[in-house]
Amino acid sequence: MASIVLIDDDDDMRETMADLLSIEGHEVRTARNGVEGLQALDDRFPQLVLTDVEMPVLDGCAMVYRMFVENLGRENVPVIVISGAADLGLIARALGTPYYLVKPFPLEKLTATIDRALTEAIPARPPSLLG
Amino acid sequence: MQLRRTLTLAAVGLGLITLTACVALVLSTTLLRRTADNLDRAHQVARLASSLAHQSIRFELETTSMGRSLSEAQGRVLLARAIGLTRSPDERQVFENLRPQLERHWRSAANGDVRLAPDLVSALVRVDDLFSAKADAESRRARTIDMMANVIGVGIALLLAAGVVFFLWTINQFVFRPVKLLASSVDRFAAGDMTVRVPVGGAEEIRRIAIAQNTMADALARTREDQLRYVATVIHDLRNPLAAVQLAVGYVTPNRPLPSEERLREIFGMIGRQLRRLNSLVGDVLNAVQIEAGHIVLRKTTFDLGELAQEAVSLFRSMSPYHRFDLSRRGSTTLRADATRLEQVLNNLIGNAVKYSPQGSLVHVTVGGEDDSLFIAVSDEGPGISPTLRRQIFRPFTRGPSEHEEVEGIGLGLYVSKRILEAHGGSIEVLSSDGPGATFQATLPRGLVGAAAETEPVVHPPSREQWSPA
Repeated sequence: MASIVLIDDDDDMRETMADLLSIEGHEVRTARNGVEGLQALDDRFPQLVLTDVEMPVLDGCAMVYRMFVENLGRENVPVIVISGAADLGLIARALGTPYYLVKPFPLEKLTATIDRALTEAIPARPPSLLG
Repeated sequence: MQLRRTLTLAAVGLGLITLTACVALVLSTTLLRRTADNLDRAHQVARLASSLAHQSIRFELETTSMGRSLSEAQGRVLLARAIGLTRSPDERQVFENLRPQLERHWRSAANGDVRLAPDLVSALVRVDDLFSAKADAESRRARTIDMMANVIGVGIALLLAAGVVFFLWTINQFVFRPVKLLASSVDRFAAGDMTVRVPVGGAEEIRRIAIAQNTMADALARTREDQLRYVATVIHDLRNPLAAVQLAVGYVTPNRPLPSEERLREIFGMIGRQLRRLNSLVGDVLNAVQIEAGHIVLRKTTFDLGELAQEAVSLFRSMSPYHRFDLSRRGSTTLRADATRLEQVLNNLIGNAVKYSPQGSLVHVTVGGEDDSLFIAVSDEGPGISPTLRRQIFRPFTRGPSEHEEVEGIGLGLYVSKRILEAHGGSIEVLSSDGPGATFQATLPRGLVGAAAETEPVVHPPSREQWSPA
């Protein structure tokens, strides 16, 4: 199906999501923070990035900003942000991505959002970084 | 403008006006009485003068010598009374001048010539005119004084009225209106509008109340804001384990075969783990809320803190095999305290040391006793604590940057520990230089003196400290 990079610092959350997406037929690579996530992206561009927001070392927002600013082709991969933060909608808007999932969510919602992101494939365009 | 000064000035001002009014009243009545006396006397003298003239005419009509003698005597009496009523030498002179003419008249009458001499008549008429004129003058003077008194009275009344009006206006402007504004603002604030602030105005004293009210409102609003933020933090932290559990439900869907038994065991293990995490978070919050909102009930028993620390260290040794643990016990460590609560403190301190230090490093726990106090020290070989973090580390929901990817808990451990120690009459401090390593040191009173029953709950009221950052 699709090639996905999944970034989350919570082991259980990351592994469960990766396992379920594999069952769905996706090819999933995982990372535990933004830095590992960028490395995974550099190895091979996926079709979609799923990332948590609060993470140690490099958080999801900083990672998306770097994807955009460094302009190495990673900026064209659509991003779904995932978090339990109450203001996740605002965070997604600040990152310029239309895709976000507020924790907790059922599997159907996850797959629906992934399908939508893969179809539309709108990459993240942080409004504050657009000249 | 000070209310006290304003009221004093107003009282002094109105008092002065009233005093002036009283003095003016006394002066004008005195003046009027004197004028009335003068008027009365002038009238009496004038009447005596005309009586004297009548007497002289009647004297002419007396036919008997007896009647003439009587009339003459009456005339003398009238003259004496008139002279008696005179005040000035000038007035007296008028009558003294009249006396020879009258004497002459009486004498000539005794000789049979009773005709009235024309010069006597004109002299009598002059006297009458003179004193009538004096009476008129006094009467005019009385009218003038009356007029003056009226003018002064009306003036003072107007001044008094103006003073009272000005006083009421001032009181309204500087007291009543600000107090009304204050009351309505406080009412609106109490009704739930946290943005309302009292306009600061009016008398100094009321301004001070308004400023105090605004300061309090700011503090309350800040506290509420902080509490809402804490609630948001708690909810956010609760959502993580919830998300893993909800996602795991996706393994069992109608159109897909069930996972293998082995995988199911793993999944349920994960669900159990996340539920325990959820439960522990809820427990932490509940604990903190109970401590903050209600009180800590201490169930004190006499026990050995060293033993308790030994148990805690053993537990962590089995839970965290990648850390090294070391326990030192010095002196007698028997005390009277709530063992469950102190176990919680030990677990929090050792747990933090594990969380914030790298694998393979040493966590050193020391429990020692002095005369009437004990101490617990927990040291780690982590990165140390920055001065900024040191200042706020005992506040709720404070979490330091961790060595590990994920830090359990929501930053209530140290806050709860501090409150437990304070409830025991103890304290906790963090000893950390800017370099690596941190030590948390707690001190506790031994509490053995006067120890009563083994387990009587002691209720400790919540401290004044709020959940908000001070």
